[in-house]
Amino acid sequence: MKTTGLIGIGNPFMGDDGIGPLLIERLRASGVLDDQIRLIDGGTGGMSVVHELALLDAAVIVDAGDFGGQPGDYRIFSVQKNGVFSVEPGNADSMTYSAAHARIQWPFDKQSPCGKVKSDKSSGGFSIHEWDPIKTIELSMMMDELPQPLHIMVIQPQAIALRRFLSKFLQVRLSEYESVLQTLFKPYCRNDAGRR
Amino acid sequence: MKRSLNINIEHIARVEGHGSIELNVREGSIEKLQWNIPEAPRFFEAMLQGRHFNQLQPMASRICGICSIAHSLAALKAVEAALDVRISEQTLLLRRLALHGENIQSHILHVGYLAAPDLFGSGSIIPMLKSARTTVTHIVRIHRLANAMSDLICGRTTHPLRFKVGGFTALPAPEDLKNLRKELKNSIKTVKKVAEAIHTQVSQLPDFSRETEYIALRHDGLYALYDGLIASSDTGVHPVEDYLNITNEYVEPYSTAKLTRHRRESYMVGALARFNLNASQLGELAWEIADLFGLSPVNCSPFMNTIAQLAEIADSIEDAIAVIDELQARGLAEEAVKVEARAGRGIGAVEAPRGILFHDFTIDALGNCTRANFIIPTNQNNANIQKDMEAWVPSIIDRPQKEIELMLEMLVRAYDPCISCSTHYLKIKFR
Repeated sequence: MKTTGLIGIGNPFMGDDGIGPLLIERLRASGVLDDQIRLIDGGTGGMSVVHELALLDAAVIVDAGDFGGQPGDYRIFSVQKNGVFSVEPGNADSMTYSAAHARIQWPFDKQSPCGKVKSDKSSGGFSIHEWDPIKTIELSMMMDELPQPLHIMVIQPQAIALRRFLSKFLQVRLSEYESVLQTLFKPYCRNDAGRR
Repeated sequence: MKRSLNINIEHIARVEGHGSIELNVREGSIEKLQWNIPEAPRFFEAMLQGRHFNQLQPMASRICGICSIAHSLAALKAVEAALDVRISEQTLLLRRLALHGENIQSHILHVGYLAAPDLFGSGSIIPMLKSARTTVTHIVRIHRLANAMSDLICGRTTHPLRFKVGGFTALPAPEDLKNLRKELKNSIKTVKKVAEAIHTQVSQLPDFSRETEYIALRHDGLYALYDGLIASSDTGVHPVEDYLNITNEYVEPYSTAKLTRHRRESYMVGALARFNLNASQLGELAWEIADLFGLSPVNCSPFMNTIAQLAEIADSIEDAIAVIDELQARGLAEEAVKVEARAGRGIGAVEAPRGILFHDFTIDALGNCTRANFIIPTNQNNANIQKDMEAWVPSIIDRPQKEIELMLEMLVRAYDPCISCSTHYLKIKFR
């Protein structure tokens, strides 16, 4: 069985940005995922995520990100070994994935919903305090440590601001997000998956 | 015509530290040159007041996400001094091991992720993967090992879970220690390769030296990280209890961070200060690296701080192996620790990766903290950074603006302050 993990990225003190760690917490408590799946609170990310990815054969990252959707909507990227992204569902003409600490613009068309993703984050580098998911993935890829498959579930925030709770837009869809994650992990679960 | 120049390197919010540089030159003469710390006060000293002594270490750990082990140990030492708690040899060895893990982790972050891109002419470590892929891979592997070391001894990478007043809440399994020793041994060649790669770019280090005072812990038997007396290159050795007379904190209206001075206008702490004061106690591996770069005490180039850190990575690996050998020979055992509340004051000093760190607690008879004081390495280096700039800028003022910006940022980064990330990303405005 592959070593599989779910990494939730975000800051629980910043409202909807905390969706990643919150989902980790909820899935850990509910036990609905196979207990072989590692549930990782990636915090605000950075190099620690590169190290976590290196230990996984297959992974899903959950992060809040602005892709121009309605608050609470989500998109799922799949990252191939060569760094090419594809998106599911692929019905948008263009997308900007603007995570709390990075903004990524990715033009693609309906016929070919995949392409190279580049971060246009204003910071020029990569540091221990800066989370730029694309640079993290790039580093992981160039070190031949990228899990396959690797999915990124991006959830559109309503607001990223100093508060300890999610907006109602995300709050009401928590079960839906969990179901999506369960589906994503289905190929990696044992038949008796789920402890409860 | 003499040159006029306005450089305003602004701080950027959100990163752990915020720093900015302002340089105004009018017709060849410097009107303003200021290294600013505009970071908001964090009130940790106030937050700790009223807290029970068992809460002080976990809270103080949160001062820094990079040096949480050093802050934890300084806090524990201060509490233990106040309550007159003696720690066992086993606890001492495990704490040394934890501090080595943090030293390796923090130093490789700085050397590899923050300083190396300057030397390789790269904006960050990502483009370095194209030009120096093997070196980056080695850097990441060392960082990963250091994280694993912290996980094993402290229970997690950042903000230790297993520390407590007087000892540890859980011990590493002997088999895990054995594996760690093997990994550390294997990492020696990796560290040497990183050093060799950095050496190929050493000509990129700016040629600047300024004599200053160096302050670090000094221990009779060991290269001091966990324990020792305060040593100054100007005034010799002082008891830790004299730390206020050594640091002499003061404030400037432009900075929300305090500054310090001792015998001169400023002093330096950190790897280069430790090297300059205690180099004779470094092991063979560290000297191999120091010799490669021609680093010998007393070296007054702040840029050699990065090289001193490389040497310290090697030394921490070598000493960590020796510590594990000792722990294995002794055998690990759960230890009962008796800690009772009593009124007292305690001062804890350790060498954090960035330099000497002081925690000072006063505790009442119920075991609650009534007063706390912290003096952190970055604050102690602030005045020295300013004085370095004042000494250096006149000699580089005729260079292209971009070059001056880079050189000033490199100078700040050489000190490895917590604001090094933000200085890497500074936006520069010319008027």
